[in-house]
Amino acid sequence: MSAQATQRRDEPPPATAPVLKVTGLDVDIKLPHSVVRAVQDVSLEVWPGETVSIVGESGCGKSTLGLALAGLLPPEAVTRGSISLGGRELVGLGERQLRAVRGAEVGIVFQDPMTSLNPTKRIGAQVGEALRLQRGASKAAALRAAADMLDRVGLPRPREQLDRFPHELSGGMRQRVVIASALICEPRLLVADEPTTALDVTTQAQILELFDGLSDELGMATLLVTHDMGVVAGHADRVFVMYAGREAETGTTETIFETPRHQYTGALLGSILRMETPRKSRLGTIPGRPPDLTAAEAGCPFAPRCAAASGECTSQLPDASEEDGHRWSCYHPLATTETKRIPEAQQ
Amino acid sequence: MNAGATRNAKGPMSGDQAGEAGGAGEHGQAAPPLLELVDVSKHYRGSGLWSTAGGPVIAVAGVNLAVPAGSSVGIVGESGCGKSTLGRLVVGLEKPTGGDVRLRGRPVAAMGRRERRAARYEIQMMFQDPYAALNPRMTLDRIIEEPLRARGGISRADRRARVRRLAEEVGIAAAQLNRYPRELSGGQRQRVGLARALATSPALIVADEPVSALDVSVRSQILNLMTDLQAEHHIGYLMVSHDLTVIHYFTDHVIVMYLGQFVESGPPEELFRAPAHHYTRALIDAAPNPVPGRAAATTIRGELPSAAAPPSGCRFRTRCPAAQAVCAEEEPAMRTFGPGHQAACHFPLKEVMPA
Repeated sequence: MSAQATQRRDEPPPATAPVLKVTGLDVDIKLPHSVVRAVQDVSLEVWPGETVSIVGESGCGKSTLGLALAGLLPPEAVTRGSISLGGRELVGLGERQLRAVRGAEVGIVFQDPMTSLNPTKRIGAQVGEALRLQRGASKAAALRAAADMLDRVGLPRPREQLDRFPHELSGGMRQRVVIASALICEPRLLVADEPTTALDVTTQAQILELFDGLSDELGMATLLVTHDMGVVAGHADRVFVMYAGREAETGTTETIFETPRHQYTGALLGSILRMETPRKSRLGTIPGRPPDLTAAEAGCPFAPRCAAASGECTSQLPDASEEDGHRWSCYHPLATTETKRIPEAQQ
Repeated sequence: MNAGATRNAKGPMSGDQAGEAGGAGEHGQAAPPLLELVDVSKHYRGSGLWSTAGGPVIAVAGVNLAVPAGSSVGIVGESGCGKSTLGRLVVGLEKPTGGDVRLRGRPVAAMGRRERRAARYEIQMMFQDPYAALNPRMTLDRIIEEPLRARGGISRADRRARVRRLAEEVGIAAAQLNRYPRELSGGQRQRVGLARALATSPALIVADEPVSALDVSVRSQILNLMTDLQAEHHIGYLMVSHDLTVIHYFTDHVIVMYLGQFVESGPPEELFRAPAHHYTRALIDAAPNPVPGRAAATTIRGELPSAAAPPSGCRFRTRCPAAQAVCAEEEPAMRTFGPGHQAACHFPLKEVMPA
């Protein structure tokens, strides 16, 4: 158990600094005959109480980025750059130190609750485990805290659930147990990778409301990795659009949805199915598929699929342009007028 | 195009009535619909996981629906509502405990061996996770060819030619046909699943969450493809999904299912714009909306009650914001709210259509 981890609780984190500051992060995954450049030159910040969403297609590196921030990369991964959590550098830490950070300072929720739960261990012991390991809490105190946390995450009759096993609960209830385990030490940062993708919309809405409440209440910063733009629009403060391991565009949620500049963001938003989409109309698609991240290529990685691509796009990576915290890397940015075409939903 | 569904709480409907409910009768003597479910139910014996919950699990409780040839019917509801069981009953992966599954008016249970075998190739299935549904040790051409081999009566050369045509139709390059499923992306696997489903020229495809596992860009491609194939081959779809936007976009008729029963059904525009049932309203409100700052709302709490011990009266009453005493005592009957639009609710959100 780390000394800093226990001391930190006494003083609230100063709101003048981000909880998480990632600078120039690269993650390479070494395979037997090649190297996957899963994350390249990513920089981002998450402030207390803020929810930042990482979006992109499968294989864009968003889950690898989430794992890197949670200190859960496989041993084949090589990390360069900096991940600073509450001022403490995570890149270069050993497994033991990372484990302390994970339990106490970073909570993690994955899509499938069964990957995070131990099927042979009772709910109460699992939820209370981090408190015992990180804070040295007694068994009884850990169980009491577990029941409180289960109640907070909306598990009905929490005291009765302490003695049950994960398989006795529904998918939505299991995910609440995972969330309770992730939050029991009141972490500074929650990394949630597709936390509600496997759940029904009714349960999804309840769990996302829970995250919103906890980030307001605890000042917890949340990194929400998802492919669901509906979830992003409703719950994220800022959006980080990833393509081929790199930042394509980042800005406030409103900016990204209403005035996207990167051609990829525009195409991604254009292919979302909405209730307003005329029935049986031809749907917008993005031709082709994301590039193979083992081959290093010059130019904009989206160029082969981009309708606006020109010669320069394939020869050199575009520099980032920035305007009031809105940043994009595209040689042919969408005009701010032509992108304001997303229909307002009618209720 | 006219599809329909009814639920009869008080005793089974006769087949003739169900046929009318299926809306086949625009021209009086119309042919029976492609697919019909007549008072179909499916019970599972209480065991294992469910043993503490009491009696048998009633996954599907006496439902009636019709899918006319070439049309798309959608079923929505939360996991555990019985929608996937319904799909499995239609393709014959499960046998109904009661009622009839009919293909062009013929009850499948009454068919002889040969006729039933032929019927099996007329109804095919598309799964949510094509990776789990494709044999990982078979090359793509073998996977697509397999139903043709199983059915027989076609030469090897003809099979090969058909596989190439199918692959072209779903957008799989001929050069990829000797690859294995693991070498494909999710979208390509779903294309292979579709080619395989199409191999025996089915009249109906049961699609269980066919695009839920796909990225938005790929999702659009597969939906466009399914629409094209429908227009070209006059295929009927029974689409099961929890995604209201997909169901709204794709289907001609929507059924909302709750704890094994149909609670509302109607044309998608009408049903999603002005639902009659509180459960449908709650599903619409909970659906994520891609408009910044507008989070989905939770008008209902908790989760689906156990199907082994469903609530008395209206099954939705334990989560319904409008429930009153009568909801616990009396099961609401299906009433009509507009053309083809029915719902079973004591306190509906809109006026019942005058008879």
